[in-house]
Amino acid sequence: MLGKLIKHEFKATARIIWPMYAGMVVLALITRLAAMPLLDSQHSFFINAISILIIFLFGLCMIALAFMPLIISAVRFKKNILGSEGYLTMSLPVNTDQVLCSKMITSLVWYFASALLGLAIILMMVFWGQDIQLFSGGIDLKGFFEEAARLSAENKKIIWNVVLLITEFVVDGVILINLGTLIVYASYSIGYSVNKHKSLLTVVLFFVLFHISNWVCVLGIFIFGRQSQRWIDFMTGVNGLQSFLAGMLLLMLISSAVLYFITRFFITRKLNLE
Amino acid sequence: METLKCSGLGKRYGSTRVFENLNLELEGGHIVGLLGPNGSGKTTLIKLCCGLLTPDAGEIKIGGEKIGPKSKAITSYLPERMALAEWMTAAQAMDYYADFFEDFSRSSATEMIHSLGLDENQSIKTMSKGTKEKLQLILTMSRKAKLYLLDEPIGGVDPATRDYILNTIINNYNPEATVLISTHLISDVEQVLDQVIFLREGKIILQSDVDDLRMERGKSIDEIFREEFRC
Repeated sequence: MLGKLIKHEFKATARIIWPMYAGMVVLALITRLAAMPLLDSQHSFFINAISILIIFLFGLCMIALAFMPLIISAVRFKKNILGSEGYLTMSLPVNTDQVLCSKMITSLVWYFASALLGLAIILMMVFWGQDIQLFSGGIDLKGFFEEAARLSAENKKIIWNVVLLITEFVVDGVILINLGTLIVYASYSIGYSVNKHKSLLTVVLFFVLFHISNWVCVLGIFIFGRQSQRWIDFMTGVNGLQSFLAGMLLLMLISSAVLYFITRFFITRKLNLE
Repeated sequence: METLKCSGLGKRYGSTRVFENLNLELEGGHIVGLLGPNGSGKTTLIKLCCGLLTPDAGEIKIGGEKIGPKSKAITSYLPERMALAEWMTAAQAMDYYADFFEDFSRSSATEMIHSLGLDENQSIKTMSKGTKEKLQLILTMSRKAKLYLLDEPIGGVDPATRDYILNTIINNYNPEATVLISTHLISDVEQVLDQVIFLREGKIILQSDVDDLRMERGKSIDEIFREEFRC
Protein backbone atom coordinates (compact mmCIF):
# COMPACT_ATOMS: atom_id res chain seq x y z
CA MET A 1 0.00 0.00 0.00
CA LEU A 2 2.94 2.34 0.65
CA GLY A 3 3.86 2.07 -3.02
CA LYS A 4 0.32 3.04 -4.06
CA LEU A 5 0.29 5.99 -1.68
CA ILE A 6 3.63 7.18 -3.08
CA LYS A 7 2.32 6.77 -6.63
CA HIS A 8 -0.72 8.96 -5.92
CA GLU A 9 1.40 11.42 -3.96
CA PHE A 10 3.62 11.86 -7.03
CA LYS A 11 0.58 12.23 -9.29
CA ALA A 12 -0.83 14.97 -7.07
CA THR A 13 2.42 16.91 -6.71
CA ALA A 14 3.89 16.38 -10.19
CA ARG A 15 1.04 18.25 -11.86
CA ILE A 16 2.24 21.39 -10.02
CA ILE A 17 5.98 20.75 -9.97
CA TRP A 18 6.60 19.77 -13.62
CA PRO A 19 5.17 23.04 -15.04
CA MET A 20 7.24 24.94 -12.48
CA TYR A 21 10.40 23.12 -13.56
CA ALA A 22 9.55 23.82 -17.21
CA GLY A 23 9.00 27.51 -16.39
CA MET A 24 12.32 27.61 -14.55
CA VAL A 25 14.19 26.18 -17.57
CA VAL A 26 12.51 28.67 -19.92
CA LEU A 27 13.37 31.55 -17.58
CA ALA A 28 16.98 30.33 -17.35
CA LEU A 29 17.23 30.20 -21.15
CA ILE A 30 15.73 33.70 -21.50
CA THR A 31 18.14 34.99 -18.88
CA ARG A 32 21.20 33.33 -20.42
CA LEU A 33 20.42 33.94 -24.09
CA ALA A 34 18.60 37.29 -23.99
CA ALA A 35 19.09 39.17 -20.74
CA MET A 36 22.77 38.52 -19.99
CA PRO A 37 24.11 39.42 -23.48
CA LEU A 38 22.05 42.62 -23.35
CA LEU A 39 23.71 43.69 -20.11
CA ASP A 40 26.03 46.12 -21.80
CA SER A 41 26.59 49.78 -21.10
CA GLN A 42 26.27 50.52 -24.82
CA HIS A 43 22.56 49.77 -24.66
CA SER A 44 20.00 52.22 -23.49
CA PHE A 45 19.17 52.53 -19.81
CA PHE A 46 15.73 50.99 -20.48
CA ILE A 47 17.16 47.80 -22.07
CA ASN A 48 19.75 47.43 -19.33
CA ALA A 49 17.03 47.90 -16.67
CA ILE A 50 14.90 45.15 -18.26
CA SER A 51 17.93 42.85 -18.42
CA ILE A 52 18.70 43.44 -14.76
CA LEU A 53 15.06 42.87 -13.89
CA ILE A 54 15.02 39.51 -15.71
CA ILE A 55 18.28 38.45 -14.03
CA PHE A 56 16.88 39.53 -10.65
CA LEU A 57 13.69 37.57 -11.32
CA PHE A 58 15.77 34.55 -12.27
CA GLY A 59 17.69 34.84 -8.98
CA LEU A 60 14.42 34.97 -7.04
CA CYS A 61 13.11 31.93 -8.89
CA MET A 62 16.30 30.00 -8.09
CA ILE A 63 15.73 30.74 -4.40
CA ALA A 64 12.07 29.72 -4.79
CA LEU A 65 13.22 26.47 -6.44
CA ALA A 66 15.09 25.59 -3.23
CA PHE A 67 11.98 26.12 -1.08
CA MET A 68 9.39 24.80 -3.54
CA PRO A 69 9.44 21.14 -2.37
CA LEU A 70 8.87 22.25 1.23
CA ILE A 71 6.01 24.58 0.29
CA ILE A 72 4.32 21.96 -1.91
CA SER A 73 4.78 19.33 0.78
CA ALA A 74 3.19 21.67 3.36
CA VAL A 75 0.19 22.53 1.14
CA ARG A 76 -0.28 18.88 0.25
CA PHE A 77 -0.18 17.81 3.92
CA LYS A 78 -2.75 20.44 4.85
CA LYS A 79 -5.17 19.63 2.01
CA ASN A 80 -4.73 15.87 1.89
CA ILE A 81 -4.81 15.11 5.62
CA LEU A 82 -6.21 18.11 7.48
CA GLY A 83 -8.53 19.42 4.76
CA SER A 84 -11.63 17.87 3.23
CA GLU A 85 -9.50 15.33 1.30
CA GLY A 86 -8.56 13.99 4.74
CA TYR A 87 -11.98 12.32 4.97
CA LEU A 88 -10.89 9.97 2.19
CA THR A 89 -7.15 9.77 2.95
CA MET A 90 -7.66 8.85 6.59
CA SER A 91 -10.32 6.26 5.79
CA LEU A 92 -8.13 4.36 3.31
CA PRO A 93 -7.12 0.85 4.42
CA VAL A 94 -3.60 1.96 5.31
CA ASN A 95 -2.00 2.95 8.60
CA THR A 96 -0.96 6.46 9.60
CA ASP A 97 2.75 5.62 9.31
CA GLN A 98 2.32 4.66 5.67
CA VAL A 99 0.48 7.92 4.94
CA LEU A 100 3.20 10.01 6.62
CA CYS A 101 6.08 8.03 5.06
CA SER A 102 4.62 8.36 1.57
CA LYS A 103 4.55 12.14 1.96
CA MET A 104 8.07 12.35 3.40
CA ILE A 105 9.56 10.09 0.69
CA THR A 106 7.85 12.06 -2.10
CA SER A 107 9.02 15.34 -0.62
CA LEU A 108 12.63 14.07 -0.43
CA VAL A 109 12.54 12.96 -4.07
CA TRP A 110 11.34 16.42 -5.13
CA TYR A 111 14.12 18.04 -3.09
CA PHE A 112 16.62 15.85 -4.92
CA ALA A 113 15.05 16.63 -8.31
CA SER A 114 15.04 20.38 -7.55
CA ALA A 115 18.69 20.25 -6.48
CA LEU A 116 19.61 18.44 -9.71
CA LEU A 117 17.65 20.94 -11.80
CA GLY A 118 19.24 23.87 -9.96
CA LEU A 119 22.70 22.42 -10.53
CA ALA A 120 21.96 21.78 -14.21
CA ILE A 121 20.72 25.36 -14.64
CA ILE A 122 23.80 26.83 -12.93
CA LEU A 123 26.11 24.71 -15.10
CA MET A 124 24.17 25.80 -18.19
CA MET A 125 24.45 29.46 -17.20
CA VAL A 126 28.22 29.16 -16.62
CA PHE A 127 29.27 26.96 -19.50
CA TRP A 128 26.77 27.91 -22.25
CA GLY A 129 28.62 28.58 -25.47
CA GLN A 130 32.02 27.78 -23.97
CA ASP A 131 34.33 25.14 -25.31
CA ILE A 132 34.39 22.69 -22.41
CA GLN A 133 37.34 20.30 -22.47
CA LEU A 134 37.19 18.77 -19.03
CA PHE A 135 38.22 15.32 -20.12
CA SER A 136 40.48 15.88 -23.08
CA GLY A 137 43.05 18.08 -21.41
CA GLY A 138 41.64 19.78 -18.33
CA ILE A 139 41.55 16.81 -15.99
CA ASP A 140 43.68 13.71 -16.24
CA LEU A 141 41.03 11.19 -15.18
CA LYS A 142 43.22 8.19 -15.89
CA GLY A 143 46.00 9.59 -13.73
CA PHE A 144 43.51 10.46 -11.01
CA PHE A 145 42.18 6.91 -10.78
CA GLU A 146 45.69 5.43 -10.93
CA GLU A 147 46.79 7.63 -8.07
CA ALA A 148 43.63 6.81 -6.09
CA ALA A 149 44.23 3.07 -6.64
CA ARG A 150 47.88 3.41 -5.54
CA LEU A 151 46.93 5.32 -2.40
CA SER A 152 44.13 2.92 -1.47
CA ALA A 153 46.42 -0.06 -2.00
CA GLU A 154 48.93 1.53 0.37
CA ASN A 155 46.34 2.33 2.98
CA LYS A 156 42.93 0.71 2.56
CA LYS A 157 41.64 2.69 5.51
CA ILE A 158 41.73 5.89 3.44
CA ILE A 159 39.25 4.72 0.84
CA TRP A 160 36.83 3.43 3.46
CA ASN A 161 37.08 6.65 5.41
CA VAL A 162 36.35 8.73 2.33
CA VAL A 163 33.38 6.49 1.44
CA LEU A 164 32.13 6.67 5.03
CA LEU A 165 32.53 10.44 5.12
CA ILE A 166 30.60 10.93 1.87
CA THR A 167 27.87 8.56 3.12
CA GLU A 168 27.63 10.50 6.37
CA PHE A 169 27.32 13.79 4.48
CA VAL A 170 24.53 12.39 2.30
CA VAL A 171 22.64 10.77 5.20
CA ASP A 172 22.99 13.92 7.35
CA GLY A 173 21.73 16.01 4.43
CA VAL A 174 18.71 13.77 3.86
CA ILE A 175 17.80 13.72 7.57
CA LEU A 176 18.26 17.50 7.81
CA ILE A 177 15.93 18.10 4.86
CA ASN A 178 13.38 15.68 6.30
CA LEU A 179 13.64 17.44 9.65
CA GLY A 180 12.45 20.63 7.93
CA THR A 181 9.48 18.75 6.47
CA LEU A 182 8.63 17.26 9.87
CA ILE A 183 8.72 20.71 11.53
CA VAL A 184 6.03 21.79 9.03
CA TYR A 185 3.98 18.60 9.57
CA ALA A 186 4.13 18.86 13.36
CA SER A 187 3.17 22.56 13.27
CA TYR A 188 0.19 21.86 11.01
CA SER A 189 -1.00 18.82 12.93
CA ILE A 190 -0.99 20.69 16.27
CA GLY A 191 -2.28 23.96 14.80
CA TYR A 192 -5.20 22.28 13.01
CA SER A 193 -6.24 20.27 16.07
CA VAL A 194 -7.90 23.36 17.57
CA ASN A 195 -11.10 25.00 16.36
CA LYS A 196 -10.03 28.65 16.08
CA HIS A 197 -7.04 30.57 14.67
CA LYS A 198 -5.65 27.38 13.09
CA SER A 199 -3.42 29.13 10.53
CA LEU A 200 -2.05 31.64 13.03
CA LEU A 201 -1.24 28.92 15.54
CA THR A 202 0.43 26.85 12.80
CA VAL A 203 2.70 29.78 11.82
CA VAL A 204 3.62 30.49 15.46
CA LEU A 205 4.31 26.79 16.07
CA PHE A 206 6.44 26.60 12.95
CA PHE A 207 8.72 29.39 14.18
CA VAL A 208 8.85 27.95 17.71
CA LEU A 209 9.72 24.42 16.49
CA PHE A 210 12.15 25.83 13.91
CA HIS A 211 14.03 27.76 16.60
CA ILE A 212 14.04 24.81 18.99
CA SER A 213 15.49 22.61 16.22
CA ASN A 214 18.08 25.31 15.42
CA TRP A 215 19.15 25.49 19.05
CA VAL A 216 19.42 21.72 19.23
CA CYS A 217 21.68 21.80 16.15
CA VAL A 218 23.80 24.63 17.60
CA LEU A 219 24.11 22.64 20.81
CA GLY A 220 25.22 19.64 18.74
CA ILE A 221 27.81 21.69 16.86
CA PHE A 222 29.15 22.97 20.19
CA ILE A 223 29.31 19.52 21.82
CA PHE A 224 30.51 17.40 18.90
CA GLY A 225 32.65 20.14 17.31
CA ARG A 226 34.69 20.65 20.48
CA GLN A 227 35.33 16.95 20.85
CA SER A 228 36.61 16.68 17.29
CA GLN A 229 40.34 17.34 17.76
CA ARG A 230 41.56 16.56 14.28
CA TRP A 231 38.95 17.46 11.73
CA ILE A 232 40.44 16.29 8.49
CA ASP A 233 43.35 13.94 8.46
CA PHE A 234 43.02 11.52 5.59
CA MET A 235 46.10 9.52 6.51
CA THR A 236 44.91 8.77 10.03
CA GLY A 237 41.26 8.55 9.11
CA VAL A 238 39.07 11.70 9.12
CA ASN A 239 37.96 10.75 12.62
CA GLY A 240 37.11 14.20 13.90
CA LEU A 241 34.75 15.11 11.06
CA GLN A 242 33.23 11.64 11.04
CA SER A 243 32.41 11.66 14.72
CA PHE A 244 31.02 15.20 14.39
CA LEU A 245 28.71 14.13 11.54
CA ALA A 246 27.71 10.98 13.42
CA GLY A 247 26.89 13.02 16.53
CA MET A 248 24.84 15.50 14.50
CA LEU A 249 23.06 12.61 12.79
CA LEU A 250 22.08 11.18 16.16
CA LEU A 251 20.72 14.54 17.33
CA MET A 252 18.77 15.08 14.11
CA LEU A 253 17.34 11.55 14.30
CA ILE A 254 16.16 12.16 17.86
CA SER A 255 14.61 15.53 16.83
CA SER A 256 12.96 13.88 13.80
CA ALA A 257 11.56 11.06 15.93
CA VAL A 258 10.07 13.55 18.41
CA LEU A 259 8.47 15.60 15.60
CA TYR A 260 7.24 12.46 13.83
CA PHE A 261 5.51 11.14 16.95
CA ILE A 262 3.96 14.56 17.66
CA THR A 263 2.56 14.58 14.11
CA ARG A 264 1.42 10.98 14.35
CA PHE A 265 -0.26 11.54 17.72
CA PHE A 266 -2.16 14.61 16.58
CA ILE A 267 -3.41 13.17 13.29
CA THR A 268 -4.52 9.90 14.87
CA ARG A 269 -5.82 11.11 18.25
CA LYS A 270 -6.69 14.77 17.65
CA LEU A 271 -7.70 14.92 13.99
CA ASN A 272 -10.14 17.78 13.58
CA LEU A 273 -11.68 17.73 10.12
CA GLU A 274 -14.45 20.21 10.82
CA MET B 1 -21.27 -12.16 13.76
CA GLU B 2 -22.34 -8.51 14.00
CA THR B 3 -21.27 -6.20 11.18
CA LEU B 4 -20.79 -3.37 13.65
CA LYS B 5 -20.28 -3.65 17.38
CA CYS B 6 -19.63 -0.71 19.70
CA SER B 7 -18.89 -1.64 23.31
CA GLY B 8 -18.69 0.88 26.15
CA LEU B 9 -17.86 3.64 23.70
CA GLY B 10 -16.78 6.97 25.16
CA LYS B 11 -15.77 10.16 23.38
CA ARG B 12 -15.21 13.72 24.58
CA TYR B 13 -14.32 16.93 22.73
CA GLY B 14 -12.43 18.81 25.39
CA SER B 15 -14.84 19.18 28.29
CA THR B 16 -17.88 18.27 26.16
CA ARG B 17 -18.98 14.68 26.49
CA VAL B 18 -20.36 13.20 23.26
CA PHE B 19 -20.67 9.52 24.20
CA GLU B 20 -20.44 7.68 27.48
CA ASN B 21 -20.71 3.92 27.57
CA LEU B 22 -22.51 3.65 24.22
CA ASN B 23 -23.31 0.11 23.14
CA LEU B 24 -24.57 -0.75 19.69
CA GLU B 25 -24.80 -3.90 17.60
CA LEU B 26 -25.88 -4.08 13.96
CA GLU B 27 -26.43 -7.25 11.95
CA GLY B 28 -25.85 -7.50 8.21
CA GLY B 29 -28.52 -7.20 5.53
CA HIS B 30 -30.26 -4.07 6.81
CA ILE B 31 -30.49 -0.41 5.93
CA VAL B 32 -30.37 1.44 9.23
CA GLY B 33 -31.27 5.08 9.78
CA LEU B 34 -29.15 6.88 12.37
CA LEU B 35 -31.53 9.65 13.29
CA GLY B 36 -31.20 12.53 15.66
CA PRO B 37 -31.13 16.31 15.85
CA ASN B 38 -27.99 18.35 15.19
CA GLY B 39 -25.33 17.74 17.82
CA SER B 40 -26.71 14.37 18.89
CA GLY B 41 -23.47 12.57 17.90
CA LYS B 42 -24.43 11.03 14.53
CA THR B 43 -21.39 12.29 12.63
CA THR B 44 -19.06 11.58 15.56
CA LEU B 45 -20.26 7.96 15.70
CA ILE B 46 -19.68 7.54 11.96
CA LYS B 47 -16.24 9.16 12.18
CA LEU B 48 -15.32 6.82 15.03
CA CYS B 49 -16.45 3.82 12.97
CA CYS B 50 -14.36 4.77 9.95
CA GLY B 51 -11.26 5.63 11.97
CA LEU B 52 -11.25 9.41 11.55
CA LEU B 53 -11.61 9.77 15.31
CA THR B 54 -10.26 7.64 18.12
CA PRO B 55 -12.53 6.76 21.06
CA ASP B 56 -11.48 7.74 24.57
CA ALA B 57 -13.02 4.57 25.99
CA GLY B 58 -14.46 1.29 24.75
CA GLU B 59 -13.94 -0.26 21.36
CA ILE B 60 -15.51 -0.64 17.94
CA LYS B 61 -15.34 -3.77 15.83
CA ILE B 62 -16.37 -4.02 12.20
CA GLY B 63 -16.76 -7.55 10.86
CA GLY B 64 -14.89 -8.69 13.98
CA GLU B 65 -11.93 -6.39 13.27
CA LYS B 66 -10.82 -3.51 15.48
CA ILE B 67 -10.63 -0.14 13.72
CA GLY B 68 -7.56 -0.15 11.49
CA PRO B 69 -6.56 -0.98 7.92
CA LYS B 70 -8.47 -4.30 8.01
CA SER B 71 -11.74 -2.72 9.16
CA LYS B 72 -11.31 0.16 6.71
CA ALA B 73 -10.92 -2.35 3.87
CA ILE B 74 -14.48 -3.58 4.49
CA THR B 75 -16.05 -0.19 5.29
CA SER B 76 -17.29 2.13 2.58
CA TYR B 77 -17.65 5.68 3.86
CA LEU B 78 -19.48 8.60 2.31
CA PRO B 79 -18.46 11.78 4.15
CA GLU B 80 -20.81 14.71 4.57
CA ARG B 81 -18.59 16.84 2.35
CA MET B 82 -16.66 16.45 -0.89
CA ALA B 83 -13.53 14.44 -0.10
CA LEU B 84 -12.27 13.81 -3.63
CA ALA B 85 -9.41 16.00 -4.86
CA GLU B 86 -10.91 18.67 -7.10
CA TRP B 87 -8.11 18.41 -9.67
CA MET B 88 -8.97 14.79 -10.43
CA THR B 89 -11.20 13.64 -13.25
CA ALA B 90 -13.92 11.06 -12.64
CA ALA B 91 -11.66 8.42 -14.27
CA GLN B 92 -8.74 9.35 -12.00
CA ALA B 93 -11.03 9.14 -8.96
CA MET B 94 -12.02 5.63 -10.07
CA ASP B 95 -8.32 4.71 -10.46
CA TYR B 96 -7.75 5.95 -6.93
CA TYR B 97 -10.56 3.79 -5.51
CA ALA B 98 -9.49 0.78 -7.57
CA ASP B 99 -5.94 1.08 -6.25
CA PHE B 100 -6.86 1.20 -2.59
CA PHE B 101 -10.08 -0.79 -2.29
CA GLU B 102 -9.97 -4.40 -3.46
CA ASP B 103 -13.77 -4.61 -3.34
CA PHE B 104 -14.23 -1.68 -5.73
CA SER B 105 -16.06 -2.60 -8.92
CA ARG B 106 -14.84 -0.35 -11.68
CA SER B 107 -17.36 -1.73 -14.15
CA SER B 108 -20.37 -0.83 -11.99
CA ALA B 109 -18.91 2.63 -11.25
CA THR B 110 -18.33 3.23 -14.97
CA GLU B 111 -21.86 2.07 -15.78
CA MET B 112 -23.40 4.43 -13.22
CA ILE B 113 -21.23 7.33 -14.38
CA HIS B 114 -22.29 6.75 -17.98
CA SER B 115 -25.94 6.43 -16.98
CA LEU B 116 -25.63 9.88 -15.42
CA GLY B 117 -24.33 11.18 -18.75
CA LEU B 118 -21.07 12.17 -17.11
CA ASP B 119 -17.83 12.38 -19.05
CA GLU B 120 -15.16 10.29 -17.29
CA ASN B 121 -12.53 12.81 -18.31
CA GLN B 122 -14.34 15.80 -16.86
CA SER B 123 -12.48 17.29 -13.94
CA ILE B 124 -14.32 17.30 -10.61
CA LYS B 125 -13.85 21.02 -10.07
CA THR B 126 -15.94 21.78 -13.16
CA MET B 127 -18.87 19.65 -11.93
CA SER B 128 -21.91 21.08 -10.17
CA LYS B 129 -22.36 20.46 -6.44
CA GLY B 130 -25.07 17.84 -7.10
CA THR B 131 -22.94 16.01 -9.68
CA LYS B 132 -19.98 15.94 -7.31
CA GLU B 133 -22.17 14.40 -4.62
CA LYS B 134 -23.52 11.85 -7.09
CA LEU B 135 -19.99 10.92 -8.18
CA GLN B 136 -18.85 10.49 -4.60
CA LEU B 137 -21.89 8.32 -3.86
CA ILE B 138 -21.28 6.22 -7.00
CA LEU B 139 -17.71 5.53 -5.88
CA THR B 140 -18.87 4.67 -2.34
CA MET B 141 -21.65 2.35 -3.52
CA SER B 142 -19.46 0.65 -6.17
CA ARG B 143 -17.65 -1.14 -3.39
CA LYS B 144 -18.82 -4.53 -2.18
CA ALA B 145 -18.26 -3.57 1.45
CA LYS B 146 -19.61 -5.15 4.65
CA LEU B 147 -20.53 -1.81 6.16
CA TYR B 148 -21.60 1.37 4.37
CA LEU B 149 -21.43 4.55 6.45
CA LEU B 150 -23.34 7.32 4.72
CA ASP B 151 -23.16 10.65 6.52
CA GLU B 152 -25.98 13.01 5.47
CA PRO B 153 -26.12 11.64 1.89
CA ILE B 154 -29.16 13.71 0.95
CA GLY B 155 -28.41 16.91 2.82
CA GLY B 156 -28.29 20.05 0.71
CA VAL B 157 -29.36 18.54 -2.63
CA ASP B 158 -32.51 19.07 -4.71
CA PRO B 159 -35.42 16.55 -4.53
CA ALA B 160 -34.55 14.95 -7.89
CA THR B 161 -30.96 14.35 -6.77
CA ARG B 162 -32.33 13.01 -3.46
CA ASP B 163 -34.32 10.38 -5.37
CA TYR B 164 -31.28 9.50 -7.47
CA ILE B 165 -29.12 9.08 -4.35
CA LEU B 166 -31.67 6.89 -2.55
CA ASN B 167 -32.20 4.72 -5.65
CA THR B 168 -28.45 4.33 -6.05
CA ILE B 169 -28.15 3.18 -2.44
CA ILE B 170 -30.99 0.66 -2.73
CA ASN B 171 -29.88 -0.74 -6.07
CA ASN B 172 -26.17 -1.03 -5.39
CA TYR B 173 -25.46 -2.02 -1.81
CA ASN B 174 -24.13 -5.44 -1.00
CA PRO B 175 -27.26 -7.32 0.26
CA GLU B 176 -25.28 -9.00 3.05
CA ALA B 177 -23.97 -5.67 4.27
CA THR B 178 -25.26 -3.09 6.71
CA VAL B 179 -25.97 0.41 5.45
CA LEU B 180 -25.94 3.06 8.18
CA ILE B 181 -27.46 6.32 6.98
CA SER B 182 -27.13 9.37 9.17
CA THR B 183 -29.71 12.07 8.47
CA HIS B 184 -32.33 14.36 9.91
CA LEU B 185 -34.35 14.41 6.66
CA ILE B 186 -36.44 11.50 7.86
CA SER B 187 -39.43 11.76 5.56
CA ASP B 188 -37.14 11.35 2.53
CA VAL B 189 -35.27 8.28 3.76
CA GLU B 190 -38.07 6.59 5.66
CA GLN B 191 -39.11 4.56 2.60
CA VAL B 192 -35.73 2.81 2.33
CA LEU B 193 -35.05 2.06 6.00
CA ASP B 194 -35.34 -1.37 7.67
CA GLN B 195 -34.30 -0.21 11.13
CA VAL B 196 -33.91 3.10 12.97
CA ILE B 197 -31.71 4.30 15.78
CA PHE B 198 -32.73 7.50 17.56
CA LEU B 199 -29.78 9.31 19.07
CA ARG B 200 -30.13 12.09 21.64
CA GLU B 201 -27.13 13.77 23.29
CA GLY B 202 -24.94 10.76 22.62
CA LYS B 203 -27.40 8.20 23.96
CA ILE B 204 -29.45 5.68 22.00
CA ILE B 205 -33.01 6.34 23.07
CA LEU B 206 -34.62 3.96 20.61
CA GLN B 207 -33.48 1.14 18.31
CA SER B 208 -36.16 -0.73 16.44
CA ASP B 209 -37.38 -2.36 13.29
CA VAL B 210 -39.15 0.30 11.16
CA ASP B 211 -42.27 -1.77 10.43
CA ASP B 212 -42.64 -2.86 14.07
CA LEU B 213 -42.33 0.74 15.23
CA ARG B 214 -44.89 2.02 12.73
CA MET B 215 -47.34 -0.75 13.76
CA GLU B 216 -46.77 -0.22 17.46
CA ARG B 217 -47.20 3.56 17.38
CA GLY B 218 -49.51 3.85 14.38
CA LYS B 219 -47.44 6.72 13.00
CA SER B 220 -44.75 7.29 10.43
CA ILE B 221 -41.10 7.40 11.51
CA ASP B 222 -41.06 11.10 10.70
CA GLU B 223 -44.00 11.70 13.07
CA ILE B 224 -42.42 9.56 15.79
CA PHE B 225 -39.16 11.49 15.39
CA ARG B 226 -40.96 14.85 15.71
CA GLU B 227 -42.71 13.57 18.80
CA GLU B 228 -39.53 12.27 20.45
CA PHE B 229 -37.46 15.33 19.68
CA ARG B 230 -40.07 18.06 20.18
CA CYS B 231 -38.35 21.24 21.40
